[in-house]
Amino acid sequence: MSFQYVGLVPGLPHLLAPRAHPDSTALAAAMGRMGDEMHAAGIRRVLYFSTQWISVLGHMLQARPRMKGMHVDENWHDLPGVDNIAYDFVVDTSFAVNLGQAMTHADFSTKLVDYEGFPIDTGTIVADRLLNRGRFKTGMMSCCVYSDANETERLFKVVSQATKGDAIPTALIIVSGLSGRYFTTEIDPREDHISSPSDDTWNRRILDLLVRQQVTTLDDLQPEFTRQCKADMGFKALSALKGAAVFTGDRTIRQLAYGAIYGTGAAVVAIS
Amino acid sequence: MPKPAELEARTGKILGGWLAPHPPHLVYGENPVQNEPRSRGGWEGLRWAYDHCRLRIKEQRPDVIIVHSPHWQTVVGHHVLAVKHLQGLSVDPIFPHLFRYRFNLEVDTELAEAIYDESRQCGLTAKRMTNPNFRVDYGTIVSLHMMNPAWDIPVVAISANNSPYFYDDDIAQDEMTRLGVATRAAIEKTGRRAVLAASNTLSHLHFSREPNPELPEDMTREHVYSQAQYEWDMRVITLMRSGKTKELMAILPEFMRETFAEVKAGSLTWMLSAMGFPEIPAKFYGYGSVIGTGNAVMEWDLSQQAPGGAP
Ligand SMILES: [Fe+2]
Repeated sequence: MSFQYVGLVPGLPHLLAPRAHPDSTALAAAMGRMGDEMHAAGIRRVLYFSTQWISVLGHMLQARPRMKGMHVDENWHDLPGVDNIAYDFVVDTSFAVNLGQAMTHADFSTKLVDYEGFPIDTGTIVADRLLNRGRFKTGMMSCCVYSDANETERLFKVVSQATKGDAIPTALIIVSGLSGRYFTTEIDPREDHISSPSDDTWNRRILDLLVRQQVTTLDDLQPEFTRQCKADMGFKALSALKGAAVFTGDRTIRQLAYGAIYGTGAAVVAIS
Repeated sequence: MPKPAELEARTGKILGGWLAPHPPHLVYGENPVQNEPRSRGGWEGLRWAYDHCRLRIKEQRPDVIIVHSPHWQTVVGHHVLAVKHLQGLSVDPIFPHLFRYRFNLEVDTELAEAIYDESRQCGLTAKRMTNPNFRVDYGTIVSLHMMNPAWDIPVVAISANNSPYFYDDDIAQDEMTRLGVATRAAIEKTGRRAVLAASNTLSHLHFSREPNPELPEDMTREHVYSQAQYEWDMRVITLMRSGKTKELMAILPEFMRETFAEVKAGSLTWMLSAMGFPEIPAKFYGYGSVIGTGNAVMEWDLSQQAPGGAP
């Protein structure tokens, strides 16, 4: 087995807001439980793949040993209580080097980044704040906008394979939303909901298929889900899950939470 | 009775607008002290085109430079920098090996507030960015650095609301057009003499890998992405040079589709709208490729117009 644990989690800063909508509170609580589960299962390292870390010239891997600072989101810079988000990552740089070598060998254009002040994306930071709490070493991989479903699946096959040879129990955390139709105007956070009933139906259908591991149907629906619901990054999350071989029948897939964040669909799904 | 000069001082005006592309390679090639990586040069055709802009800004001494940047992308509304002083380290997430810039800038907050107010009055969702820890994006910094490396003129930066990518082209154009109208009204009401910057690349298809990772400024490896993309850029630049702004606006959606043009982010539409879509020839100072994308430095000079007058 390569990844001992795989998770799909959202990454919007509302999850950290002290006075959030009950959906966000429930999603955040589920991520906290997921972190505890990972810890109890002996996980010692997390690889984050966030749809909010976008790259265009191939893929990037974070390779700076310690990334500590204060993050301000470019859109949610004034969200009460989360206008400045503290982060502190301990990065397993040798893991990054190994993954980079495997990816390069498989002809993926890959770059290790090791720079003070490199802008870590909001999704990775939010996920780490809720899951990690100082327990796991980390890795971070960018989401190349030009990698289609097939390329993404192939990428995660390579990454899984490379992780297999590594003794440290590792979790893969995919930071991605579901439907991506957020509200484009200011809303009262107490009135948050999935912005269209059809998106809500779609999200629930996708989640149900995920839990039941109906991968062929999911494959068929991925383009339509993307078109209809502006799914986050074309729902590449599915391709990553497929590449990480989670649909092999020997894994349990559980939906821990589902709800709205600023009109978008968000779910916490645990695969163990 | 106020003297004419005082009258002029009361009514703000737009002195001109620049197509001011922001590949970080331009700052990298110049080696300013603010940028950590060092280079052997490169992309001189574009970098030296900005000399004309630097000279004009020295002559004009505007009160403010206003930039609209695609790399400050906001999902809820149009945001305006509204903190008096901002400083920090801005690292380009795409080209971190080329751009790690220590910025230190003064914002014209009175004008920023006015743009915010006028935008809301135009029916737009708008927001002031008042967080002092905000990291200014590399698009804003590169355009402003290339235009005025002394940073001795206050600035206002406006985000690129991602409506062009979220809705269809028509709604997006309408949003950016209204944002331009709001910007112009704010300039006039606050009495500013302003220079505008549309921080946009033209054709935007690019190489999928850096041609020479060992030497990013290897100019033997820099070229246009494709002949088709080059011809599109020339078609668009020709319309700009001949002052055919209506025709330009009409073909922009096709240009965006065919070449992935970065003008889709709305900066050019915003700027032309603020200037009243002037049917005047834009001055061309330079064109160049950066990892295959097409970039031009161009000026619409409105400085001879009457204050507040329609172009
Ligand atoms: Fe750009």
